[in-house]
Amino acid sequence: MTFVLELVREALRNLGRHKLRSFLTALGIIFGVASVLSMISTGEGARRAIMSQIQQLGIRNIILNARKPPDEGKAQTQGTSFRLTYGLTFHDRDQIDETLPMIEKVLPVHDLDQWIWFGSRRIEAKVRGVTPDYFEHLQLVPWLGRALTPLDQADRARVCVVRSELLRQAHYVGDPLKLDLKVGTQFFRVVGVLPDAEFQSPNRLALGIDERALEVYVPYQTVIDRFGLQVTIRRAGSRESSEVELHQIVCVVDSEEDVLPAARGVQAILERFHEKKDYEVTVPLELLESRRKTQRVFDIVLPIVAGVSLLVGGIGILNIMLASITERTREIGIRRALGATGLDITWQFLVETVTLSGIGGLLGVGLGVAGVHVLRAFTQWEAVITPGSIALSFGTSCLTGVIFGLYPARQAAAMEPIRALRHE
Amino acid sequence: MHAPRPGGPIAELRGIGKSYGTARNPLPVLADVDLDISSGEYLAIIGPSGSGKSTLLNILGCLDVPTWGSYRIEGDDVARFDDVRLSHVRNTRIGFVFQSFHLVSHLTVLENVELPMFYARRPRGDRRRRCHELLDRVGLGPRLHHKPTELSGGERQRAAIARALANDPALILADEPTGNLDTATSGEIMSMFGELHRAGATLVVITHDPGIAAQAPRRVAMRDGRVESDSGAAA
Repeated sequence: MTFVLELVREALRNLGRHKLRSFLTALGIIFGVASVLSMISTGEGARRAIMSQIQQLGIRNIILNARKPPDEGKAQTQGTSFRLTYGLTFHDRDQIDETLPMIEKVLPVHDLDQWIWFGSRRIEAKVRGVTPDYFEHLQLVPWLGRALTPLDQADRARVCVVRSELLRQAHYVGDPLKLDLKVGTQFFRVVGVLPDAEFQSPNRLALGIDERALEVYVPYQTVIDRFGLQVTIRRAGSRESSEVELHQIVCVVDSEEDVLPAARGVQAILERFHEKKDYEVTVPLELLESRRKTQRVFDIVLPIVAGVSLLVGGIGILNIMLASITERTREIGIRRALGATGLDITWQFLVETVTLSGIGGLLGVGLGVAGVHVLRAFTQWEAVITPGSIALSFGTSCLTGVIFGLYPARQAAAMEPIRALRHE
Repeated sequence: MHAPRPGGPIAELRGIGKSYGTARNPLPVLADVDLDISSGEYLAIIGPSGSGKSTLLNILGCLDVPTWGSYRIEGDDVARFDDVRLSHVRNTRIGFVFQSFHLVSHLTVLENVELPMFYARRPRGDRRRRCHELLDRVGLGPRLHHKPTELSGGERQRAAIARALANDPALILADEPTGNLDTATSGEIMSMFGELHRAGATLVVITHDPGIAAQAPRRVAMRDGRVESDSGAAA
């Protein structure tokens, strides 16, 4: 062991003798390791972001959203008034609840587009009428106050839970729990504040999550009672009114295995009762599966790219070490004459190569970490550096040193002592 | 300290032959050399270039193996040894002094002297102590941390001698040790060999210079790969 340590010290001095050459040789490894590390980190970051979003949607949930049918509207806006009815219905909810035994709960949601008033300032928000268990199944945990309760529901209480983002946008500085929020023309007492939606990345859209973070949650019954189902928008010369019974239905399935069959059942029910496709089905579990497939592609491509870049770096090292051995033939001869065995010589050059690639690996890790920080500062990407990814990229650099150092070291050891000694 | 019994055999060569080239086209350089070197002997091998004296030195120093014949060092038949065991013999029983010094140029004098002990796996502190002792003995104490290129030829050869003595070898082999030195420095080096001889070391010096050879009590003349004459062991 001390023998190897002394060889490392010797190697460091030797590399120090040709600083520029050593640095240039290590450059391939440096860039290789840096790119490996940043690739792993961005991949890992993206994976975690998606996973966490999917988890937030609930792995046992099937989420149905109302969608305005795309072909409607245009043809009929000519008239002075018309009424558009679309979306999910109370009937859908009851059908799903009664027909599919594996569905444990059906949570109805009715949304309102209302202005939230702060004095004379108004902020557009999505007011969601939800049942109390909505909070539990969509992992909405207030960090201030409480969630909505069955009592609120029964009382049709005028209470609400808001996102902290809303208070920030309104520049509200008082105690949030003493605030009476003016929604349209009605007042609601704030009883809880939810943290900001965790990931604001572009992935939210891809996952069918509404990109608006400004949600105000109020008891479902209160919304239905106080605002009704009909929404009227007045424009110059025309009145447009639409009626949507339910904007969202969250079906909670009893176990993970039943999610996919349940989703097929839900789809069948909806297809039967809806003429037009005015709804959308999101199955977080399916998203998870498809993400895993994409991840698998990444898992194959990454090692190939990493392998190629380290291969290039390794060949650079191989090249320099072969040149160095020719240059140091006489030294090898001297060492052999003084009693170094072939194995001693192999060790010496192998340690030198591994030291070089190890230093390259360390610098590469540094560059990679810096690169990831720069990336995070200038883009929306969630890049995560884990100790495992650092160990992996550093480890591969050392392994590259061993692989590409072995051949030159063996060449050095195979030299005949007298020939090496007489070499000019 | 290695202390072979004075007068006991160190090296015994019997019918040593060396041939380069292929089996069909042999190129013999040594033929049937018999030579005995006893402990404490100081002998010079002399001969014109091409006489086979360098090849003989390589074989004596276990840098090369004979094509035929037997060679015993302190009783061990090294002609049959593999590369690892030959390395071990070179390390512990042989000390080399070369014409062109053969110091590793990027190592300091101290580190060069340390090398044989490094390969003998002696601990660092022990090595350092021995180095200081040896370098003081050859008068290089103050130049310990100099690189060989910062030394004169004579100093380099003295460093090489210190290195040759590091592991207390049974046999010190010098190949034209004064070949690259001026007359005055040659004298210094040769008197150092004289001292070593008086201290009981076994020395073999190869030279083509009769003046250098004359300083050794025993002289072996080589010609065409054979021992032409041997003044015999001085009693």
